[in-house]
Amino acid sequence: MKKRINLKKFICVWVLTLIMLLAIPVGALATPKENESQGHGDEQNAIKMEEQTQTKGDYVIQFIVPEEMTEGENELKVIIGQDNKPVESLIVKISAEMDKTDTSMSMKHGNEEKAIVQTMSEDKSGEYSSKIEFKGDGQWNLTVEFLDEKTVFQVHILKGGPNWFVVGGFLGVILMIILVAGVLRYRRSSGGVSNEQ
Amino acid sequence: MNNNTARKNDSFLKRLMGHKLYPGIIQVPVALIFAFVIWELAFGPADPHDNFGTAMTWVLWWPIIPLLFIILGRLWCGICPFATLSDLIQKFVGLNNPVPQFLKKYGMWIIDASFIIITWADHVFGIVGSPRGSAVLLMIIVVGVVLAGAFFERRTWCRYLCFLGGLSGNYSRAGAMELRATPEICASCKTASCYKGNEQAPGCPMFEFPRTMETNANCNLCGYCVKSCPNGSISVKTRIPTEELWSIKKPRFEGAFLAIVILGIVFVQNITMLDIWQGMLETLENLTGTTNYFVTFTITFIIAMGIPILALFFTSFLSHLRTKEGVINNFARFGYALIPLDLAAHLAHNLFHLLAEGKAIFYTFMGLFGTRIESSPALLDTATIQALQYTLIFLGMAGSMYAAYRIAKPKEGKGLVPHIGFILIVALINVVLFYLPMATRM
Repeated sequence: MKKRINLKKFICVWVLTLIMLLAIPVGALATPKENESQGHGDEQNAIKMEEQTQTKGDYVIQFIVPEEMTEGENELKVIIGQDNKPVESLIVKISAEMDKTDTSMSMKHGNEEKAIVQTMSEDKSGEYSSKIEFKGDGQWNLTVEFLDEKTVFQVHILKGGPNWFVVGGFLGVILMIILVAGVLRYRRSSGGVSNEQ
Repeated sequence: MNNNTARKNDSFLKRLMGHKLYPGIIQVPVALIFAFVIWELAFGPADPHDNFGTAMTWVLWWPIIPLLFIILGRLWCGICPFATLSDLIQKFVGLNNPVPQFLKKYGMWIIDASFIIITWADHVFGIVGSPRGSAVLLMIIVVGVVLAGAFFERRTWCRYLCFLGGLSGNYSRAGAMELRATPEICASCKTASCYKGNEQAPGCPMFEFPRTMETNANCNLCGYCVKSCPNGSISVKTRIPTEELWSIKKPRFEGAFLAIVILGIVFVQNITMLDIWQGMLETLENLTGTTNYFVTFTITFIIAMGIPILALFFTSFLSHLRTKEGVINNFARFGYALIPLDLAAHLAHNLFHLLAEGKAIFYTFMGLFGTRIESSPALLDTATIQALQYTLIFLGMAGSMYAAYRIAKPKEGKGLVPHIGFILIVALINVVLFYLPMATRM
């Protein structure tokens, strides 16, 4: 090998670069424990969760959903507790229905607003989950039923379309590069200078 | 021997590459499919389960790409849509400036770093699990490709900046196909058309001089040199996979480093898709006092990436006690021996996605026409997939051990034992990881 690599310098540069690169988003996005719940352990780990809590009789019902829900399938979780203890082995049903008071939704989706009903499965003690497919954007009512209790949560579903700001930004940058290169090439060729082989 | 007789004696591969329609005839459909995939990712269903672009990118393309490298070398790079885009940009607005010195010097390190950062970003931002995230990643690459194509000569992006190019360069060293010039014919050549190009074809887009080329690492089998060589010196033939690994004359530390980085990445990919990952996260959350995934994953990532790198440094340290060469030199020489195991572990990991989720490609394709199919996406059962994974790991381990043996042979086998031990430990860890149940992408 032509040149010896300085091991100390190499390790220092690498460690520093990595720490700097990784520390920027970590520092910017770090929040204390109680404000955030964790992800799911696969490649969708970065999903932030939102929590709503209601009390029905002796029961405390925590409703946990992704902070940003878009059209399509979304996983919903319900934690049911009584006297600070999880309530196990319940038959919990969840039904999702478009909010009929949201007139813009009724106009958009016509007769599609039939309620979707599903039985939730118990993942852990007192924790029930289910995946629901939301076929339209806007306000949805989610009704959780167990024993004789019934409680309604509201969620807002976003349109699953592209982020035009991001797409437009990239296209703008690409066009800018092409434009700059084109102008420079034109100037170079009109000036009679070329780097081509 | 006249030209006609010479042509008849050419291998099928050489005749294919010398054909005027090659590689354009493959580039065009690949570019069209890619354009549709990026469109689907950016504008198709937001749910990855329903997105054809996600299935094509992460269930089909990414899993089979290492297989392509081992069978066909860097042929993918020759037909890659990013390379096609770079050529197009260059043709119309390219300034063809020489490649900056820092890119020539540190290109491989940029590739190493970008590979690490992309893997990290995938986990914290959920790139694979989000069609929009995947589209953003591809668009970032497109911006880089356009920039390199517009300002610099040849395929600067592919040679010095593409993270997949770094991976393919390493893997294709173990590949079963090679393109080489015939030194006796080249000795009398005064044109160097293979590098400079002529009216038949452009010069080598990868900045290689085929006349002196001894490695597959930077040959994308575009066939330009086959077309431009006036003496028919170029031959394209099959060879024993991994053969090149022990005949590298100038082992490069950054190349060996990439090999161990890939091993760490596969390790991270595997561990975060296992059921035990949740337990590990919870332990880490208790230790750090935060449930913020950015923090916990970053710590895990640094540890998981650091362990294999430090372990190889330690192995090289033990080995250098016998070989009496520098630790870095030892690292660079033997690091290449890890490539077969890298390939095997990478393939075994991706095999799970391909075989356990392969039908999703068809389901999402049907979804484009409004037909929704709700059925298991698995092509094979878990036990069969695991058997294939173990077989791959065994083959990779055998390939790496043999490569290490051949690398050590010129020095009478000195310093071999620590590296054999390291390969064995890495293979065993992989077997354990593949034994555990894994999460799916779709």
